[in-house]
Amino acid sequence: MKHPFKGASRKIAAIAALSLVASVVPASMSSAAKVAAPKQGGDITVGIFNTLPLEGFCFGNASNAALGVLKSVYEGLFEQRSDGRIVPHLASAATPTPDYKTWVIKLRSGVKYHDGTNMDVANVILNIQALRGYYLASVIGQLGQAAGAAAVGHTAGSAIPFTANIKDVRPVSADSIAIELWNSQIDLPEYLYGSGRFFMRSSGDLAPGAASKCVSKGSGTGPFMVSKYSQTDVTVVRNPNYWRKDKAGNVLPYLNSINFKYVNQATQRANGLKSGTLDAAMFSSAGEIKQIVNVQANKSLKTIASPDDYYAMNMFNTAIEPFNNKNARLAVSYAMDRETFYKQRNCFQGKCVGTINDSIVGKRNVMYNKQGFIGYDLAKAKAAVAAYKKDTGKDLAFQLPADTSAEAQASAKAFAQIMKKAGITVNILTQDTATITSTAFPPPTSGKVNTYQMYPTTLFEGTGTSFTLPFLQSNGYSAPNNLTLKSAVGPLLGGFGRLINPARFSDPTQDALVWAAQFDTTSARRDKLRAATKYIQENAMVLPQPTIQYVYGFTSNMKGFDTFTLASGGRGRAMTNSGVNWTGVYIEN
Amino acid sequence: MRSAFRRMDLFTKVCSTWLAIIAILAVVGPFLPLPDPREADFAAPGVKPFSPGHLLGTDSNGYDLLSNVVNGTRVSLMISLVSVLVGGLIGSSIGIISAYVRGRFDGIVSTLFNIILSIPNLVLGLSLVAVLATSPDPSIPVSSNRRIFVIMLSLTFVIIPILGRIARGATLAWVNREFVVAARSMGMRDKDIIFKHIVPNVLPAIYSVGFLAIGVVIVAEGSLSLLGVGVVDGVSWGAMIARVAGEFTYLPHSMYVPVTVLALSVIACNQVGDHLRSRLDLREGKI
Amino acid sequence: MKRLGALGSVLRQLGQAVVVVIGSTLFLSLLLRLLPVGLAEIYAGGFDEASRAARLKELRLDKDPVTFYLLWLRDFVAGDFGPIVSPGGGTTPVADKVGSALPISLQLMFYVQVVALVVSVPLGIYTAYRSGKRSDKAISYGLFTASSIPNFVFGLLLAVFFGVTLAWLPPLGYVSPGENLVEHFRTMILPVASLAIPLIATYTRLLRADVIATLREDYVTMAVSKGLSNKRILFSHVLRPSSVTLFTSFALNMGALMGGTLVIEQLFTIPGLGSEIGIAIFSRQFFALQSYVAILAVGFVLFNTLADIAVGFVDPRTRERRRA
Repeated sequence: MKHPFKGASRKIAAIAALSLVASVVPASMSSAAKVAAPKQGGDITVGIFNTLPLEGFCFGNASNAALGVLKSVYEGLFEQRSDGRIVPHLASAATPTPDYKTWVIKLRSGVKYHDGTNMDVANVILNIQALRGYYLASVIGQLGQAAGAAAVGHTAGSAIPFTANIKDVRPVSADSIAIELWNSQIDLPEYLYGSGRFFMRSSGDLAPGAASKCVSKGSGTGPFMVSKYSQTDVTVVRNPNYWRKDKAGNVLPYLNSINFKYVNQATQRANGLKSGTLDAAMFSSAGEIKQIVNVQANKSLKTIASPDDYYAMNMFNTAIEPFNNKNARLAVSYAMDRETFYKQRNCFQGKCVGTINDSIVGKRNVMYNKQGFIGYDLAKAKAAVAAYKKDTGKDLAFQLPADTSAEAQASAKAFAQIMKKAGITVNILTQDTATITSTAFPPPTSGKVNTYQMYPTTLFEGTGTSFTLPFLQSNGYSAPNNLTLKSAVGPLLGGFGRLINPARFSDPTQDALVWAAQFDTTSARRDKLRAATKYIQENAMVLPQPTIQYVYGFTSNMKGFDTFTLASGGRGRAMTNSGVNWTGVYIEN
Repeated sequence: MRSAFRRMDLFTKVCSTWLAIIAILAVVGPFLPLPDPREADFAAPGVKPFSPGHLLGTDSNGYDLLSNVVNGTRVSLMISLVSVLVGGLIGSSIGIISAYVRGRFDGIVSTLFNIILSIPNLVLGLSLVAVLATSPDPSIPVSSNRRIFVIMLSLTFVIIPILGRIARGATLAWVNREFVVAARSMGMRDKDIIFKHIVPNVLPAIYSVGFLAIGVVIVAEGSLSLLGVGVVDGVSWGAMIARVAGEFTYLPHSMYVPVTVLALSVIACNQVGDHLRSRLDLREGKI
Repeated sequence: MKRLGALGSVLRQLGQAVVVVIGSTLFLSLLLRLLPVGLAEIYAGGFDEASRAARLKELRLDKDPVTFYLLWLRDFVAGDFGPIVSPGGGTTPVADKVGSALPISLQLMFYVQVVALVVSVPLGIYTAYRSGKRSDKAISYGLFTASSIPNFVFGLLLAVFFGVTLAWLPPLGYVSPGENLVEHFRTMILPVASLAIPLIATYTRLLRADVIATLREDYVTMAVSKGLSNKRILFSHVLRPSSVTLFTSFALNMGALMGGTLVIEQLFTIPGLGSEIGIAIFSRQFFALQSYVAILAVGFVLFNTLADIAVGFVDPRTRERRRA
């Protein structure tokens, strides 16, 4: 998973943009498809906007561009097609029982990790147990496992809320495992896809004492293998034994090596692209709009943008003042002049990236629903401010954390200025990214909770529920409705679910709606999800902002990034928040 | 006063007028009929100079450049003048005395200077601000004035050993000269020797670096802003430069405005300083 | 002391060096202990009671600040620069980072100083010689302007102009000299130029001031009366005694350039010590930070000592005084 425990400044900077609508992506790529046999070989340099995690490849919580580096090395059991469907990848099939309480996952045969070991049943079970937090240092003894396993040191445990519905994992045959669930669930593969974050790692990576090894050399099944690692500079080289071939039977990947370079300044990333020093560079609409517009306008460069799947928002902390008061939340929601905010933050010289949102999620998400969405209305905002004053005797004022980057500051200031119009005071709290992240998502065993009154972030993403509902898990849930309390590990960590709930929801009605929708297996599920969305919007539980869009720029001789097909057929998602899939990328002379 | 002004050449007159304007703006800036420097004009982001309502244009976020330059004068001027004056005075006095008296005192002073100098400025500034001007409870932010004071303090702290070392180095070159030795042997008091023979000769070097330091300090405050420990509301020249650094390729005027004002002020400071010094020092070069 | 001669001088320098390194690291170490959010909170905030105690013990944060410092110092002297602590509990040695980053920073520092001297010595002498004339003013104002442009702005300007518009030089990246010497120099030109500009301003101004002062000396009058050419006088009689302050400033900048180039290294993606310090600050790696600062302090002291010796050669008058 991403942001919860490892922030990226861009994410927190992220009160911004949206994509030029998903359909733009396929439309702009017809020309590349005609090319004959892709050329083998080539070494490229790619500029990225995140540093790599300190814990290197042991770490499960990279975000954005850094996650993209990890994804060239690691793959997951499932992948997502460009039409949104979740399809098997390292798995070859996923079959539920009629009651959706047990899923049998068949594994693809002959897949090997970079260290030469097989991806087999034992290894996949080890991986899923690691995702469930079984090998966290603080729970290992209590679960009565081999003491030596305690030294793993990776933090895959933050996937606990996402895997909380899993009751047990067991082998059923030489190539299949069975996952048993607490509650019937029709979208388990989507949760195991984890928005592209849940990787399969070699057993060596997960072994006791592996922490120091996998920092600099993780071992996945991916098309590339790590050859050099530092936090700012990573080189991956072609995996000669990669399990996939292209349609014509040529070996994949085409490229010999990729050097990912952290280039802090967006302008320098654009300069690198324009001069050919970089072959590709990634940008985020959260704060890099000027560079995106500049690169898009350059005729000798190509760009590809992520779909409308990254939903930025400001989380109200509903447990403390002032946002434990509904009028306070309503006031801010009515005062949020999205059009003005969007124009300032998402547009440059008349060119804008994205559109303005009208729901807590985008149109491609199953939870999308305009009903109950609170739009800009200054008069109502002022009335709500007055109502808040009447309730509490106080003027509405709160603090907004913003990291030190110029763009995060600019976003926060624009937001504060918009709020001021309605008589709401926003005090900008400038802190470094590490502090903001650890305050909003205190480490699991600390016993602390988020103390920010409002927290800007981009938690929600994707087309399904796997990266929305876990963040809505309520403090109010009690067992059995609190899944993390039900899981083997959650109780040992004091109810892990609330830790990825920076809004600190404890609203019984919301709980009931979310619970009912999440585990519905009938055709009524979609309506139930939409009902939950409507309730959340009507009660102003979160403050949606224009969504985030990520853009990759390429020199014009780069091909194949937009024609990437998946192992189980169909076109893959050409671009996500972690960038493009490098498997099918090649250099044309 | 009037006669002093008259004796200046034209360029010095222009420079001292510029400094006077800057000084006046520092005081009256907030009362001028300009847009609020902290409020963006959402309708006019990134407009060019001489646009209606924005004489010098706006940056990409719509902040009025003229208003930011004018209102930023106060903090920038205060921070740079105080830290260079105080730091320079303390530093050069210590430097001159230690080079003059030598011995153990000099050893201790040099060591102390070296200790401060061996810590990178940015690390020193960051840690001082983090310790002295950060509230333990994030929900109660420190006051803007305390921040400014600590920034001044840490920049002064940085200036002291730099000018101290330069004063000491320059003094070392003069303290053994014939006229100093002669003055000593004639029983002249140390205080008089220092003020009569050492200080006038050491001052040029201190001036040279000191006037440059004014600009450097203003920029350094901007670097602190880049790292998030600058002036709280971001209204200062340095913060302004740091803020527009990422966009000047696309909107050059947003960078030219603060940098031009800063450069003009540094040039004016140097010119006026040079003028004052040459009025006090009538010796001429031999070739 | 006098009788000990050269050996005594070396010993004294060495003693001072040790004191400086200890002083600066102790200062920073104690300062870090005063952070409003404590180190214990930062490194062990996420641990439960049992593992928290173990963690603090492992990181020696259970010790009092002075003991903590002394243990760190012992390790540092033994070449163990401490750990980089991962949030999940893993650690990697700082020494690895130093090994790769330090040589790069030294290269950068060396080039910048050489370029700054090569440009500013002739400029300094020329502006002093033409002091008050139009050419002096033009150069001086040019330098003031250059020094009021922050180096990160200057760097970006150079990257756009030489990297993109003219496409002569790569706008970012680093190539080691062993890998490709030509590329190495090509990648270094822009960062070196952006760091050298403010130094050129400082050096030129300093040299100018000192040369003007020296030009008033009687021996200059004598040289003139002997009929020596102005050029000869400037370079053989005036330059040497006028460069003491320049050397002082030169030595000061050694330390600053080794670690103070954070912004420029980041801008041009040069993986030097400045970049590492930046990462250490932003990922709150204070143990690493302390070791980096200690290494800088050692370097600073080293270069200052060398500069002191150089000053002695340049101006024998100070050498005599120093011996006294």
